[in-house]
Amino acid sequence: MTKTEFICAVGKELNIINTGDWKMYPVVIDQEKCVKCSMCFQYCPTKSVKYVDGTYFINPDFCKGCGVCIEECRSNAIDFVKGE
Amino acid sequence: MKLAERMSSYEDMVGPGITACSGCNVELSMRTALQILGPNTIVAVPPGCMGGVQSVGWADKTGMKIPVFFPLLDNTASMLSGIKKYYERIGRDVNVVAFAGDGASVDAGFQALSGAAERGDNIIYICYDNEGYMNTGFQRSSSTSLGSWTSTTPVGDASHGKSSHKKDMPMIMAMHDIAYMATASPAYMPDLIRKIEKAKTIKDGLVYIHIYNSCTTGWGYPSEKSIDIVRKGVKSRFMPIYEVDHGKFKLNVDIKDPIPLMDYLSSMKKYKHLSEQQIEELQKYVDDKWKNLKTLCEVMG
Ligand code: SF4
Ligand code: SF4
Repeated sequence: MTKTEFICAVGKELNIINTGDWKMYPVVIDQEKCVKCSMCFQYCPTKSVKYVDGTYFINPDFCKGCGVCIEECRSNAIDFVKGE
Repeated sequence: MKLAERMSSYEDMVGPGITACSGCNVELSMRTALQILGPNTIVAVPPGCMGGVQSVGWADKTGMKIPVFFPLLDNTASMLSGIKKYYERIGRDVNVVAFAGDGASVDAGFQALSGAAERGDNIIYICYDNEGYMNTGFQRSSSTSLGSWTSTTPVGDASHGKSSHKKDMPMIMAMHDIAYMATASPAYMPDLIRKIEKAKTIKDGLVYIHIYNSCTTGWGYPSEKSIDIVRKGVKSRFMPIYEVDHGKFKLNVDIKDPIPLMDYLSSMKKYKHLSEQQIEELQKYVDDKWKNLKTLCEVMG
């Protein structure tokens, strides 16, 4: 279905803000600690937690670094990677 | 199908980068709702947080992958009624949806919404309730709860936060005898998802979904607590999760053993100054509303 089938005007392209820049540190899931409960996936406001082939991982592109996934993961499998 | 599989199979209808505050559970609610409603949807997002975060676009660019309108604060429902009528006339089934804040629903847009409800127009009206006009500087709305600090109900010698209770909008909408009314919380995702899926199937009247959200910047709590706060809201009975399906009341999250209301109130800056008396008044409000709801579920369940 193309957008022109509707009666309202729509822009030609998506307005995208680079919210990936907002975070202080990258957020990463430790796959060994993850018990696949899907809490991070359900609660990530930017939908940056992806589920592919039975594995949860964080796509950093638009992750704002809010920490919701870190807070909600009961297995403490997610954390900021604060670097050297 | 597992929830994660099901949700992964739906595409996100909102552009990937929008300027909602870090940790905003309204962004989460909007993305989730529109993911489920899908590509056959026309959405209107009136002025408010979600309009302000560029989900409606900017200059000649759009904020969504579906047609999105930026109506006035007060005409969202009536505008959508007109759009729905057009599609009904040409015989095309389209989800016509509002994603509006409490200011645009409970205050300014109430008359238009009440009219659409009374006429039984088949639109899906989702209200995200973060208790105030948050994106313009945290002014109170009629959905702001008693005692809340806002920039127009300040805290000082002469004023101690908002002096009146929150308008019980879900119940007001239920009393319009609409086809489907439900409250939801981003902390209870499977329930929220089920309700949006249900909304999609209703063709015989208006659907109103009231999402009890919160606001990191306006309520004053760290971004990572976004889900925890609203979960406490539900667990203390402050945010009752129920639905009214064609007149039948059902409590979806029965809180048999509520956490102390103070656990919820003390987790943010908004209620930091509350006096003993204000806390008592809030507790009484919560208890009365809960009792009323339980009775309705028993009598009209
Ligand atoms: S919340 Fe934690 S344990 Fe659950 S799926 Fe995410 S990373 Fe894994
Ligand atoms: S930090 Fe926030 S935005 Fe980033 S993946 Fe976690 S919940 Fe999503």
